Amino acid sequence: MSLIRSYIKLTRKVSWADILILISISAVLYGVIHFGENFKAEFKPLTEIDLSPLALPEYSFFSLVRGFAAYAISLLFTLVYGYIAAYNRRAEKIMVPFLDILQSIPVLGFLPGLVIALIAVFPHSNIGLELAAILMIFTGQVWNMTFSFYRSLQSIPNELREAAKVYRLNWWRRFTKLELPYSTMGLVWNSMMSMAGGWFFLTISEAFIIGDKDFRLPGIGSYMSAAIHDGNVPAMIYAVIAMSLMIITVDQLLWKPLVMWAQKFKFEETEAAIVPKSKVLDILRSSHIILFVREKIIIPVINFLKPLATYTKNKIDNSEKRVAVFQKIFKSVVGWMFKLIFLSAALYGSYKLLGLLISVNIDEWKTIGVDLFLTFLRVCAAVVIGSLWTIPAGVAIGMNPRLSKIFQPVIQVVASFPAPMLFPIVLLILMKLGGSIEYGSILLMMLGTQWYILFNVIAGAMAIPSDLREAASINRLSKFMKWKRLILPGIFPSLVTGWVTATGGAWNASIVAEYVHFGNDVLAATGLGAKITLATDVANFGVLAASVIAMSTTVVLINRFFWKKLYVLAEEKYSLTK
Amino acid sequence: MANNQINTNIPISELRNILMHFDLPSGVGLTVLEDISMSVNSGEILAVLGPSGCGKSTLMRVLTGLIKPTHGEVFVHGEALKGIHPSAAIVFQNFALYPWLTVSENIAMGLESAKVEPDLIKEKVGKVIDIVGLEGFEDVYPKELSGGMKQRVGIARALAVQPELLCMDEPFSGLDVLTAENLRSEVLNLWLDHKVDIKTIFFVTHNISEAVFLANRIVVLSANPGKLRVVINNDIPFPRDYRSSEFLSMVDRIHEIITSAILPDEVITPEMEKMTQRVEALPNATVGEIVGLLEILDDHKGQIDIF
Repeated sequence: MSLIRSYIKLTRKVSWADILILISISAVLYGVIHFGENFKAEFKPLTEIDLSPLALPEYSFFSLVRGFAAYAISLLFTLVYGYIAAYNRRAEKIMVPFLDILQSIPVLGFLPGLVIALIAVFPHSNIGLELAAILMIFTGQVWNMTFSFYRSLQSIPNELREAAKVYRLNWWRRFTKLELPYSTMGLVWNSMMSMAGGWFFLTISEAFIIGDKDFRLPGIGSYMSAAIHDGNVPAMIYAVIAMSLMIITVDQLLWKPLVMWAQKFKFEETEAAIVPKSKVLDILRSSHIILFVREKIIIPVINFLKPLATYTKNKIDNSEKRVAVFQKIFKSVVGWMFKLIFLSAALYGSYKLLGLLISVNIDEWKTIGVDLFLTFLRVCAAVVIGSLWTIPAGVAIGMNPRLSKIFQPVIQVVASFPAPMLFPIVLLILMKLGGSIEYGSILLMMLGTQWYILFNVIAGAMAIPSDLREAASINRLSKFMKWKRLILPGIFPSLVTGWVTATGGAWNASIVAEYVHFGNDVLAATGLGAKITLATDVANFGVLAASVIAMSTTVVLINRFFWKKLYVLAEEKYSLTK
Repeated sequence: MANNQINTNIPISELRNILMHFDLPSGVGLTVLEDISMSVNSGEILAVLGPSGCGKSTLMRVLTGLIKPTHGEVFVHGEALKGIHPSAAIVFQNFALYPWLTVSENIAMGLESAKVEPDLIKEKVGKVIDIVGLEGFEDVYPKELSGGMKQRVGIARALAVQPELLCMDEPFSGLDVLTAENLRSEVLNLWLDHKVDIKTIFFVTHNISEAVFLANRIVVLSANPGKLRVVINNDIPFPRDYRSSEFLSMVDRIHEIITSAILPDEVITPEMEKMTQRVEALPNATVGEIVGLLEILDDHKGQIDIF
């Protein structure tokens, strides 16, 4: 899991690219909100959710399809975006900070606008809602995958690249024989993480309330929200069980075999001591049907297609030379036109957004400031409290192979469980115990984000070289000294990554954790997350835009000025790989 | 030895006034190679020898067209090189095998690019596997092999494309001493027995005896920036013995060239060396006497006429 570590990279300083990106994001935000403002069309009546447990398999299937549809888009996006970012120097300058900002801003704040916009496009069917859900899941999945692919491409050892050049691999063969295999391990791990993140967004976007309008898609998330609305406790339990079963099934049938298969692409000269095992892959590998399909169908088809591919490639090669000059001119003209259009659209959008923001009065801005601060405190509290138990637990698991063998798969499944589904249940218990949502929301935020810290601490503890541990034992370090001299410095780089991811997740979670629909009631804490959700509920788009921008800017600034410093420290002082 | 006599007038490859300059991220420029001109002739084994960081690997990459020099030109058969060298293969220091491809798939890499018929690829791969001694390992993945076996795959992959120019970048430095010695002799025997149709071997090393053992011609580079210091013809007949006196004296000579700070203007011959080695011995004296002499010297402000 240490693979995740290196992919989150903070750009060195705030550059002109950042500003350009902020402008264009503002423009998108304006466009989305503008759509929402004009939205008056009738829409399809509320989808009725059948609360019988027999309906759950079908609902789970729908949710699963949504998750994988979004995943397919994420993968495609990742391959294209990552490839361009890694190989086009000029594009890289914009694309990487763009990715960095997008992965750190709370995209949930964009959900209401997006839902409304897409429903406006498809007023009489569920297509708009479906698209919005899939897009939301996509935004929850894609960033870390893209970063992973981009980083992998960049870290391909020079000698392997040179071998590809000297032995004249063409573009396609270089992609399939070198670049894709080299990135596979990282992509598979990150896909797994992404699917977990995707479930979080799925449950939220399947059942979504704006004003008095209740948007529902048939799925496991809406089943849960209907169950909560009706106060139907057995149905809530069924939903939780169904979700867990779905996650475990996907884990066993898809991720485990994939991870094991990906071992083949591990770039290590020596064989690893512990090889992940998967029963499903064993079955697939020993299956005669699969063998038959591979030998008699897939390979012949590929062999048939190969000459075709080289033929067209040759043709392209020849014509390329002829039109090279023309192409160059054409490219630069189109490039400038594209830039001009992009820039003017971005500027127009941000100008309009500015108008929307000006409509928000001073007092409102003041409360946004106060709420921002309160949510900031909650985010900090969630990360600190989360760290208090995950660091010792993670170290214990990571340093003990037997424990990690037992716990890692369990934690993986637990962490994939979408926390928002549990919010009402947790709140219910909390209320009974006399708590309030002001503090309870911290717990809700933790529910979704502490896993990032735990995973990274486990990975960090596992990566501490055994000779360092032996040196600590032979020098008889006391428990305290062992933590101070060995463990904390050893896990520090991974811990920082965990913290960054957890904080980002906590900001995002605040939008759903500070404002929870509960039956016909609403429990709301004072905070910016609640403000965003409330502004959505009452369709106050000025405040919505102001809040989302305030939150996004804060997150980006904290990343640039706080986490960046810790990253540099971790890289320079505590890196074990140097 | 017959190999070295096929010399034609036009060298296989030629470097002219190569200058390689890198801009470091810190903003400081770094000149790695400066004003290097040399030719690579048909029928020879040419070694580029130098301390680490002298730019020998960079030189090899310039020669094969993997990187473009900042200044200067590369010629192949008298024509300026554009892109990758049309008939060169490289054996890499860290093998550069693709871990997800089997031994035969790795070896077939270059052949597949050349659009060789699948049957012919099979035949050619089988032949080189036979030559380098990898029988039985065809379908094994590189990570299951030892370092020496991995480099055999690297060599096989290079031989498979039947290159005119075989380049090796510190090919044996990643191996343990005995394996390296073994593989070195095997490569030499392939060359001497004409088992492979390569016209030239160009290799880069920091190991003096490796250069003396294999090469007909040794190019010594100095470091910071890498400059051509001296070119030595090595006519010791094959098979060479690491312990023979001519082998050892050649190694000593090169060692001296590398460690001496002065840049020799011409090729040093053994006769010249004997002349410079005459040094007047110090007379026997105790420490006290030396200290006394120093004190007297000091009293006379550092100069005294004792005769």
